[in-house]
Amino acid sequence: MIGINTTMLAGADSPFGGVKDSGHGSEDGPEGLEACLVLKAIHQA
Amino acid sequence: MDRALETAARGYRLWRARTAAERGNVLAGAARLLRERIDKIARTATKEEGKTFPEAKAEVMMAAGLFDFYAGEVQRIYGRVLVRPAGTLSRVMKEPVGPVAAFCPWNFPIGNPARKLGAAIGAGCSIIIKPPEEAPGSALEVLNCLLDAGLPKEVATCVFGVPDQVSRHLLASPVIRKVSFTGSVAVGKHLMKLAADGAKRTTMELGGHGPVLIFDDADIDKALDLLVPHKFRNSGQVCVSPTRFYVQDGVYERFSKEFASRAAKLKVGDGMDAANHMGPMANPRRPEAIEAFVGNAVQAGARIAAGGERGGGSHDAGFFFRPTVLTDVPLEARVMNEEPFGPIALIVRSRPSTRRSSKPTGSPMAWRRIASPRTDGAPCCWAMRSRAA
Repeated sequence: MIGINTTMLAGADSPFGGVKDSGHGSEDGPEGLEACLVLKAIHQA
Repeated sequence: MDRALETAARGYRLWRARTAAERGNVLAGAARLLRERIDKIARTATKEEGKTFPEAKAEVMMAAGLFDFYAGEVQRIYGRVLVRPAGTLSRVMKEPVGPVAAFCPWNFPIGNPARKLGAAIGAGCSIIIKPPEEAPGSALEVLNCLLDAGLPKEVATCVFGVPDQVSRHLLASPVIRKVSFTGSVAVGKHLMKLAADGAKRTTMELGGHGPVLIFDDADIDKALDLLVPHKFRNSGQVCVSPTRFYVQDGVYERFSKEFASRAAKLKVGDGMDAANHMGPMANPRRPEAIEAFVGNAVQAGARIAAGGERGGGSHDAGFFFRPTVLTDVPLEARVMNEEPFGPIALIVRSRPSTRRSSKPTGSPMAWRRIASPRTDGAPCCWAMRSRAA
């Protein structure tokens, strides 16, 4: 997360998270919801 | 704890069968209740954690905004249909990951449980949260808003106890499918190891050491207006707190002098008193840690430009620490390499002629490299310059 001429870094619709030792994955935003979902592929003949 | 796990398994079966609209309605209702109960909830957080009442209120609003966002977003969890020969059907669906175990820190005792609860509940998961020992009541206020908005009580439960015992027990259970943790780097890595044994998914929000780059052409008054309150928000106990300030040579003297003078004027005391800008720290370990960081930095050659000691509050015996500014901080000082998590600003002079990078002067990447002597990353970075790079 980078702020240029602002200290504002977060928001309900913006992913919140760090890299390297600061952690992995994001909370908030659509990405926060995705982190609680798994994909299921169903192939039917 | 086993009862909580059984409840989470039951709650998951029940909740994943509900429609997205039903899940969204609960979140939207909880957002309304958070706003209605804002004063009560914020007072609880200020009393438990120490942050000022306006900061706690802003946190309640953040939690409500997040619930509102997810109330809408859950209705857009789409799958897709794949192109296959006629007569066959291949599709990709998104399903909830399963029961979640969430471990919350004390520094955002309302907003942090809210972001973990909101995402899990929105996705159709059940969740067990372990609030921090310092601020259990704030998390319960958030949970109560969800329950009062119609969330079945099996879907979200709360456990208390010795953190290591709780995490080991929950993570050893096959019921839990995802671990969400906000806290220190060391504990995060420990939980990732425990999660690996059960191949559980993790989301880790760990430490930070946010660098701020102040360029010669920055609007210094505006930078100070923004950065001084931001640095001392929640007594600096924020993973995305601005920590290291790399200031270009041309504005170094002015920036550090004015930063220190503004910091020294901040009023420290009871967070419920509107006259105060900063409350106490959250527990007795914090002022102790900051005191040790200051001592070590001064020994390494740093200068104290403001604060540097305990106190400054209405009760000198409490966990108060004066808003502190250190200048000329050498990179070797411990505080430059470990997250201070306190009301301490580290100001370092940056000379392009002695930069460690071979990139051209003025390139934001060159500055980024100067700004990051550490190898372990930070969640955030700020730049104050004349225009967006």
